[in-house]
Amino acid sequence: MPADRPLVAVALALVLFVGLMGRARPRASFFAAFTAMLTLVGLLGARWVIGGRPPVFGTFETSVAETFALLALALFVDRRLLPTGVLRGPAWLAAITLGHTFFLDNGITPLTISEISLWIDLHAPLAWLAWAFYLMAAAMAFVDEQRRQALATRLLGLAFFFHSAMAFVGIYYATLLFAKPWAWDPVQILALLGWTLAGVALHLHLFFRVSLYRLRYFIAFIALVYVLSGKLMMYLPFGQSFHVFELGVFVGGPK
Amino acid sequence: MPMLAKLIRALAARWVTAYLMLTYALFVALLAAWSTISPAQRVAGIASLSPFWLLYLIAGVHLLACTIQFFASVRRRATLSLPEDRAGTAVTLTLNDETLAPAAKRAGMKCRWLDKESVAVLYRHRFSSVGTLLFHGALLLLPLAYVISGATRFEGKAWIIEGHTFEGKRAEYYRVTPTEHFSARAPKVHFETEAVEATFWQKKLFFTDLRALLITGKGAERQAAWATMAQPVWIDGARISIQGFNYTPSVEVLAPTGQRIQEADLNLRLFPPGVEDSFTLPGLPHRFWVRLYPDDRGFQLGKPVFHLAVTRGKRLVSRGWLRRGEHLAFDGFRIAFPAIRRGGEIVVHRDWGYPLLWAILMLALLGIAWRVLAPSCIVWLVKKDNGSVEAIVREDAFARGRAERLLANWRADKGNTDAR
Repeated sequence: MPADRPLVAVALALVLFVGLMGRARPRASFFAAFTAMLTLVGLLGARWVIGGRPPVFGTFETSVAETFALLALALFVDRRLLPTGVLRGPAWLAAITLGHTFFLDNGITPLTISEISLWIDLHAPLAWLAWAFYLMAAAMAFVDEQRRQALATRLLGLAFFFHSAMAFVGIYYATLLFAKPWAWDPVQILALLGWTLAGVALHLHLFFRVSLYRLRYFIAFIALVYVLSGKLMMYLPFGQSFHVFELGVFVGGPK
Repeated sequence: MPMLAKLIRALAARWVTAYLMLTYALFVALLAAWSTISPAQRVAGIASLSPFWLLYLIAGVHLLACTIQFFASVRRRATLSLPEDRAGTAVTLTLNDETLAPAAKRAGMKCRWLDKESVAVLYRHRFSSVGTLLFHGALLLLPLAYVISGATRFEGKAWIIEGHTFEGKRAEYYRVTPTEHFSARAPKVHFETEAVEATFWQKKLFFTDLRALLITGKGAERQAAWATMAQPVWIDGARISIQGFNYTPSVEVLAPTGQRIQEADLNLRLFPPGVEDSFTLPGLPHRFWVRLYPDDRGFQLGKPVFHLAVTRGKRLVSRGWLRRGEHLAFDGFRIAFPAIRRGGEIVVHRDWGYPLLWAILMLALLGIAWRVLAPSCIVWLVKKDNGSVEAIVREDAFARGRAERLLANWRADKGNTDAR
């Protein structure tokens, strides 16, 4: 779609503004982040209409959707739960995600046979939600302030919930597709690693009363593992994972 | 019994939880690194080595002990029992219904007297920790699903052809798992393949649609249903999905006299284009090597061309390019492929462990949701002998500081609005 790149560039400029000016101009930053989110919604909606299918396929679409989910959550947290000033961290993370889409194929491709299912239409949004909640929890954990720490706990708990839901839907769908729930696929294993580490973090916090501020680098690492589970497969040899995220050409895909 | 309780307490030690989880995370991290360079089968082989099973066994025992021990804690919370550790904070408050009822309503909590006029409790979501029990209990049930799956699982792969009937016989499957007890485990599958359809993305070998129309039953019970990869057709508790596509021709052989001596539908693997398969015919000493190019513009049947080579022993007898119905002469005979049929690879799969697995996953998810979305908050208000009131708070880490807000006005060191 020709408007993809300009729209992403607009959203990127807006989130960069939020990242740079979030503290000095909180009100303007809120509206900038809100406009960036609307821009991404518009982009996803347009791709849905043009492609004739939900925007759940391809690394470009996934990145845009994940950024949308992160911005929506950050805005909700900013407006409803804290006075101001939580947008800067998520804005930088959104900027990185949007920035890397310029290296991705933005063509609208049809779904492969394994992706044509309402289970995938559920699996993908749950993955976006887990993405948003993990990154937001990591951003909150880095601020040693009571309300943000309490919020980080809830966000981490919800990230674990969405991660579990995403994985369980995937496991159910895998039994329909491949007649087995688990295949030791790189994406699955990385998701399992992130899930296990999130469980470790929750147990350390709930059992041993280790504050999330002390666990902040660990939580950031969990978020990184989750990000890798969604992004690494593009760099794997073609066919290494059954998770097909690209029909187009990026790395290793068929020409 | 005290010995058993001691044993359970020792097995459920919290440091063991952290140690086991970190060890498992390390194992999984190693598998993750391995999986980026090795095929999944090799990674699966590593994941089934004895250190993993040993870890699962220890984790299972530990989890069981934790769950038993946690049960008592859940019961205490659910019945709102006053905690044994009664360390609380002093509050200025007159302990009566007029004070507590409106305060509880404002905080979205319920109020109950444990001991009239001396112990009251304000609470919300007191069953929240049942969620933790559900989640961990569900994990404990996973081995049961694994055992049932191992005892009942059947997976068979076969090639079907348009216009042919599949009867689920052992010879029709090219691979079955497990290889033993076929008659006991295999589902009774019988259907006719009415059509197989495939569409591709541009000219690339990527399916954007692949489906087979299967006819089941006879007479009045005759039913037609499309099987795809994601939406299988269910017969006798088994899922039948289509996972591969194929073209296969029919063949006819003419004798030197012109008489047709052979006519058959072949079951060859000729897809994707360029793949070669071979066959023999009864009464002829030759082997026929075939490749099929369905069209020069893609994978759909347009102007198909066969490449056929005929060998006898190690000697090449004849070879050539043929269109549909054209003949190739060899040793005085003539061979042709008058028709091409579409076919597909199906997976027939039945596993009675999976319904249990899905139920376990649902239970686990329900448990997490219950704990995270409905966190408990319990505040006991205890009147001491000297007339002062103490608040004991047990609030879930996922809660939103409700108890703190409730007690804010009752703090002994602050102005009190609800006390009178």
